[in-house]
Amino acid sequence: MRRSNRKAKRNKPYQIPTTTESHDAFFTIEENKDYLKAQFHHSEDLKYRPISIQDIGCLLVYLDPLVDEDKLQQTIIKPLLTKDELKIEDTVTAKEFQRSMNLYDAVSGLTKGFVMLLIEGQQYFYLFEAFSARSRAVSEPVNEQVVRGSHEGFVENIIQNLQMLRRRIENPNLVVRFFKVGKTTDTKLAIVYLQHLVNPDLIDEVEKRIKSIKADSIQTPGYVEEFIEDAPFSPFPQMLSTERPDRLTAHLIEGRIGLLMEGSPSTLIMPVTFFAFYQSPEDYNSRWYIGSILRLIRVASFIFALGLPSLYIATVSFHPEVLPAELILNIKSSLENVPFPPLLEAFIMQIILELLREAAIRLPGPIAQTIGIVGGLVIGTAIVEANLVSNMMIIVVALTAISSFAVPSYEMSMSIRLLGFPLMLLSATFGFIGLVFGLSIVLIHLCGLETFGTPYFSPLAPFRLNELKDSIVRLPRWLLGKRPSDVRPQYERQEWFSRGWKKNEDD
Amino acid sequence: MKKILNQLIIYSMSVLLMTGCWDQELLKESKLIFGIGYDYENNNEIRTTFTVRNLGIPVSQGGSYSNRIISTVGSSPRDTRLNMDRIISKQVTSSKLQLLLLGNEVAQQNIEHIFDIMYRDPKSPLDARVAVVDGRAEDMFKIDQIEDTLVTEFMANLIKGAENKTEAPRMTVEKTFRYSHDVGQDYALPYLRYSEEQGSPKIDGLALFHHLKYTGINLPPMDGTLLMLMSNQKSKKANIVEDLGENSNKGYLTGSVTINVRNAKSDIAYSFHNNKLTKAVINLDIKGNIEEYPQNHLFKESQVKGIADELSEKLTKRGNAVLAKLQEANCDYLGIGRDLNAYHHEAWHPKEWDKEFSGLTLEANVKVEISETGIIK
Repeated sequence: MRRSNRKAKRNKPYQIPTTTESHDAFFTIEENKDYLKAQFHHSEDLKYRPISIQDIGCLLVYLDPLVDEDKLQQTIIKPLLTKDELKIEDTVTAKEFQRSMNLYDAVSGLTKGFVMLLIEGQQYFYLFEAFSARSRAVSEPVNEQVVRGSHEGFVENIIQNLQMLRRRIENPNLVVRFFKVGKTTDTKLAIVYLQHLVNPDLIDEVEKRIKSIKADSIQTPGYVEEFIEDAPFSPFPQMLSTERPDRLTAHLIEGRIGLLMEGSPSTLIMPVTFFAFYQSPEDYNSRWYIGSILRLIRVASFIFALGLPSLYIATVSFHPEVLPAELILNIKSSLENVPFPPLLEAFIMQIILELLREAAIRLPGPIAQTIGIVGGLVIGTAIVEANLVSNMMIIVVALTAISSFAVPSYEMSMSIRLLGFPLMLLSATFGFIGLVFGLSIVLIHLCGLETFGTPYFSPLAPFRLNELKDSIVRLPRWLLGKRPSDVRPQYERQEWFSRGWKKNEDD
Repeated sequence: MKKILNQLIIYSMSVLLMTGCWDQELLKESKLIFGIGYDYENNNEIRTTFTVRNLGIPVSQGGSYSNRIISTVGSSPRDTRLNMDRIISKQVTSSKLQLLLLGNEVAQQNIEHIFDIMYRDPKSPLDARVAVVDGRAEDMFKIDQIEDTLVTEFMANLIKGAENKTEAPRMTVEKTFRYSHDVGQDYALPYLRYSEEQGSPKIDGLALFHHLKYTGINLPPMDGTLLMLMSNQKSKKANIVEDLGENSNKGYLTGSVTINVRNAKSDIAYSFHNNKLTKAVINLDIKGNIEEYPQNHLFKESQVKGIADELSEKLTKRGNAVLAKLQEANCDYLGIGRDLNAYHHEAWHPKEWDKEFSGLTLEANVKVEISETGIIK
């Protein structure tokens, strides 16, 4: 509240001038050139190319790294020189151009890959698009691999990403809205959605929140996420981050909004429910019961990853009598010579695990494998033989780690593992009671959480039996006639008796 | 906002730090009692034998399971427990108790005095098996190991095996309490005997109880099975062996037939006179397969029928003997009193039931039906 009431200050000198500022162009090339030089602080990648048209001196100005050389030659210099006419609009073949007298336009245009044409004796000038759109090749995102299905992944170039999206949804109702955020970086953001399907209030809300971002820079979608999410202190991610066009497409068609950012292959999907983090595009490629089993396994993995270590700690430190007699002997004999309380044991193992994971991510592939072997096998065996940690604890922690890695979304996997720590503390101080209270708090929080006005824990809270079909299990596509209602799309139905042929066959 | 946050931090820290480990019972700090045996010592004292599990070296590192057997004398079970705690390291817990043995003499006293310690502690093991021992429970536990099985496990599994074969009812600490306080229902516990021949304990039928006391009367295993079939307690398996035919006992392997009971249904018919129960007929229908019958191939159905009829006759006789023993022990195992209470309430006189039961006319009527005789023969 306090922040929005603050007076909008004039931009700092290092930030990009606001659009309201202006400076009229000069009549001579020389003056204009000097002004631009001063604006760019004599930056040496600002290039000038003098040409003359009908013997009038002209000057092309551009920022070399941003301009595509082919485009500059083919669409600007060549036509100008061969036609040799001052009807610039009819000569230059660049796909976008602008005529202006405001030098601020020139400055911001140059930073976006435009070429500026100054003509001696005239106050107005032209800006032609010659942006170099080179980016890396499209490849499958490493952290969202699938066995079957599309292996396409987003790249760092927003235009190319939009192209992938447009290719998947060839529909004029697919709307792209661009935003410029970051007072210093002026980063290009785009939200995409299907007009006439998405709830209009939702679009307004998202636009409002993006427009209120006032920061020097937006470097990753994570910045945007933190600026616009509802509950920044919640451990649960409230926007789904994905690098897969098929995943984004699927969510757009459910009536959600996607957010793309220049310079980042990850896109954000909002608003999402908790269960969206447990869905993978692969579910729809395999047969429906395989998909359903996989979903159920993932839901089980959530419970394991969240509660297993704390359940174990509570059991061995407060309630050993719940264990069957045969099991209690095994557990007790593995615990017998361990000097630490179970909580400390769990912390030691979890910390070792997180260290290994963090180390393995930063290292190149082959070395990461070595770390895995040294860490996983050698430390695992040695730590048991040294009686620092019990066998059972290693099994429990390993199972927890594996379960958390089964989540298709990286952020969710981390959140859950971290959420396990307070639960462990609770169960080490209060036993099962503490665990139950901890889990209740988590459940209450999940039920109460809202993102962009939609319930996060839908379809469990509010409970909608009909929508469990595509969240906890995945039934055949022809049974999923309606879209999820948590986002309140304008049209509910998404499938109309595709298996109608079955009926006709009998006639 | 900041104030709330500060308060939150203070509260959560104090909750975590100030509780500490107030009621922690670490598994590794505990000693597990696996078996308890009670024996009559003299008028004022009781002897309790505990088997406590030793776990020095983990089994995964080449250690082995072993028991420590401790026997102490005291004025009550709790007193002996405290005495025992003084000579054992770590915290003793009986929450994983598997087996509770009652010596023959101690079972004939009021057993509730012994069980009291179990029924007051919420962590006491309600599913531990209870059994009566021929002689002293202490001697059974002193066997320690039978080959490589520890004796406590051995006996517990012996009892569970008998339960599966319908030779003993599933009597746990909790069930014993319920039945021992029920006027219209008595019970029986498995009876263990030391077999000199095998050098190990064996199941030797049922010990019949009346209210809180062992009556001193036992049923052999086969009669135990029949009794349990009569009270609709068939478990996974039930076998009946009986001598048949005029050739029985006339040669080697000629006399017996074994049937495996597939299905048994028992029903009690009551006759009343002057609001008093005078007669109860227990109708038991058994459907079974012949598992062994060395004499004959049994091609004809009439032969099978003959066997069934002869079996019915013999089992009826045996059933009547079992009922007579029940009456002798005054043990209302079939729960006739409970039936009266529920369905014939006007004939239910709880205060006189003890006397009424032994004066009843009880009659067994067993009908056997053979449904299969085997695959090849």
